[in-house]
Amino acid sequence: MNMAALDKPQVVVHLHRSLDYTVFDCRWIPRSARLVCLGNRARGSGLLQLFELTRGELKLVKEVEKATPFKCGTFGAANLADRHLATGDFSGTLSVWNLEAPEVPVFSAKKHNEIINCIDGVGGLGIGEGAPELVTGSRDGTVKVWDPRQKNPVANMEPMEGETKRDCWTVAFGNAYNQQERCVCAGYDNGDIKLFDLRTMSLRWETNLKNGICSVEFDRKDINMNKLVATSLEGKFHVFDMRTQHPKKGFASVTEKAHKSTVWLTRHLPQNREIFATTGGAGTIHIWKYGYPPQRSRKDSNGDRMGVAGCVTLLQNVGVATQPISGFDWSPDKQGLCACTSFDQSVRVLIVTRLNTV
Amino acid sequence: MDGGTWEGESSGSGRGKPAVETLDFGFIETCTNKRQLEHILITLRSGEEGWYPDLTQFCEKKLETVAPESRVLHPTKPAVYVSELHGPQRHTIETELEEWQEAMQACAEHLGGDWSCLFEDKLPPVRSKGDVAKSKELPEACGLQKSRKTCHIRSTDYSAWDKFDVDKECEQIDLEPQARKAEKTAMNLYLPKLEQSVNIAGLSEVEKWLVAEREKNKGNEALQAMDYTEAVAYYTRSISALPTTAAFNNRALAKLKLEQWHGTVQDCDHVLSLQPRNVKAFLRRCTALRGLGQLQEAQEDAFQALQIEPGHKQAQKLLHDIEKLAVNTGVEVQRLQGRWLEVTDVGRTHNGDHDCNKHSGL
Repeated sequence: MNMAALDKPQVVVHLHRSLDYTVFDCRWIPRSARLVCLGNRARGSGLLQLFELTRGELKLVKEVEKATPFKCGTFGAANLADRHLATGDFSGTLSVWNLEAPEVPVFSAKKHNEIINCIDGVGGLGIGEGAPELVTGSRDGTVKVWDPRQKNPVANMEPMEGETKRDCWTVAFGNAYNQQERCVCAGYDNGDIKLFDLRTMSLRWETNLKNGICSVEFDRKDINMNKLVATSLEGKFHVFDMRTQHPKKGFASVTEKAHKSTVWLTRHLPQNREIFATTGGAGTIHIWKYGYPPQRSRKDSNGDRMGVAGCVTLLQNVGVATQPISGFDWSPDKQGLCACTSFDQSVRVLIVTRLNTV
Repeated sequence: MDGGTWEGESSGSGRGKPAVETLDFGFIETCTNKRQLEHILITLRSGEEGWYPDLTQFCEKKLETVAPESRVLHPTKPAVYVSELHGPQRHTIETELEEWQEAMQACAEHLGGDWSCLFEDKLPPVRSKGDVAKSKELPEACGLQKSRKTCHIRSTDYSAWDKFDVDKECEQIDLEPQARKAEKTAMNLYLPKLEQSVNIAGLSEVEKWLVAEREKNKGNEALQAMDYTEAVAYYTRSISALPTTAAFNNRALAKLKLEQWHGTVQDCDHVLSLQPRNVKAFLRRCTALRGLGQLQEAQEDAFQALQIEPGHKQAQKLLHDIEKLAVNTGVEVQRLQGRWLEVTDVGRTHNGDHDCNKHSGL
């Protein structure tokens, strides 16, 4: 091994805990060493488990069982004082839970007809200006934006009459840098990516990447939208430069092959937006870094500005599980600390070293 | 077979086997084509042409010299467990985590400022219901409570004109050419209408610190992406939440890049009033003063920096530049050659100016 390899970030498994249910998602509770895992019991109920990282072990602190399986969760719209968890479940219900008193949800609404595949939040935790809002994407083909102060969704993105409904696999907030601006990006099973502008309530951009979009995420939600990573079913991911939108060509992007199987997730490091992780169908985790080109845009022959994509470098690649990694979350408070859940029915706490020197 | 035949080959699948004569020490030795070497290595590893451990190793070594970043050299390996690490590395990771867990427990008690006031007074109203696909042309969502500063004021709207601040607008216009200069490298088609302050009403001290830290971090990222105007805005927001010398010092650097000399000097003054031995602040102020043509003051700052860190490369270069500039323009600066030569003897190297993230903490 040469010196360069020794300077590279290293992915180290800190803890590994087997679970007795299918786990879909995990989230760090902000400003704590605690972690929430969400999933599906074999008997068909939903399970929410709260773990605490303490003295070298992952201690189960609380367990909550509900009638319908949980699919996804987020703290994105929560405030730091009560840190309510928002979840989407198999029945299409969006719920918000106070983890101190999880018997009844503090908010609940069933407006999706089918499973909620994905959820994201913004405006809480000091991330993003403006009102706290949630967005959910469902198999019923709709994407709904919610304000927890109101029972009905505040925005609803669905195919026009006559269009076929596609399964929405992933949603993400972005561009929330002031009180007015806010965007939602959604990825669908047919490879469609749609960017909705919530200020103008219009479809701002759409493209098709030919293969199902498993995960989309902006590098940061609370800045003038900068980059978007989209991962796809056939082992590729795309990084779009979201600063320059060409009237015809849209956003410039760079494509990278990874994992040799479905790229299930992408998650940006909260402490450095240019670093992100992707997780693969074979239980692998790759850590990437994006580099900007010398000029981020240029003029085309018509004088219109078009973006110039940068490049991505692989910092590290490791195998962690034998099954797809369905959930991954960086700790917002400790750089390099992350947790992942996999279909081998386990949760792992990982540490990625040397991220501050790349 | 020469390297040219491999041009245009994709690194993906769907290619044939390499010719047998290429699976040879002599050939690999002379080959410098990354793709060809990768291809040979993959074939050797697969064992399709037989098993040659020495040749495989030789090929790996060669590829490493030609293209150390090649993916073929870094196949996905199982992740290491902490328990398998060497003593010191394991110890560092474990103690760091323990400390962090304790810090998290301690901070749990400081959370929970009175957020209710924030919710009631400061939150924008609920967005009006919208249906995006069905009404693509819907002009604008309601729920925008802020007045739009960039809107043109109608000529008949006298009360609005009364409020129009001419000085402020002029200042804005003055600032623009500098912003445009930065645009050459950092592309930002429309400058975001960023609020210059963060709403921190009702937050506890820890929460203010968190907000300030986050905004500063965004500033650092913008600075590294060469979006200097944006960086200044984020540092300003960080300072509005909780003034820290690091944020002032980094903003000074961002302003320096935008050639906003006065702003740089002001921010550095602030840093130096709190940290009188901050070398970076001296150097940034020195550069700004040179830009303003105040060569004597600039020279004094460079001296100060050299006194704190003798042999500082950048300080020496600045001093040199200032003296040259002084000769060219005929301005009289202190001739302290002796003092300046004396410090150059100390041959220590120092990092440059792009060090914002060293302050970023977290």
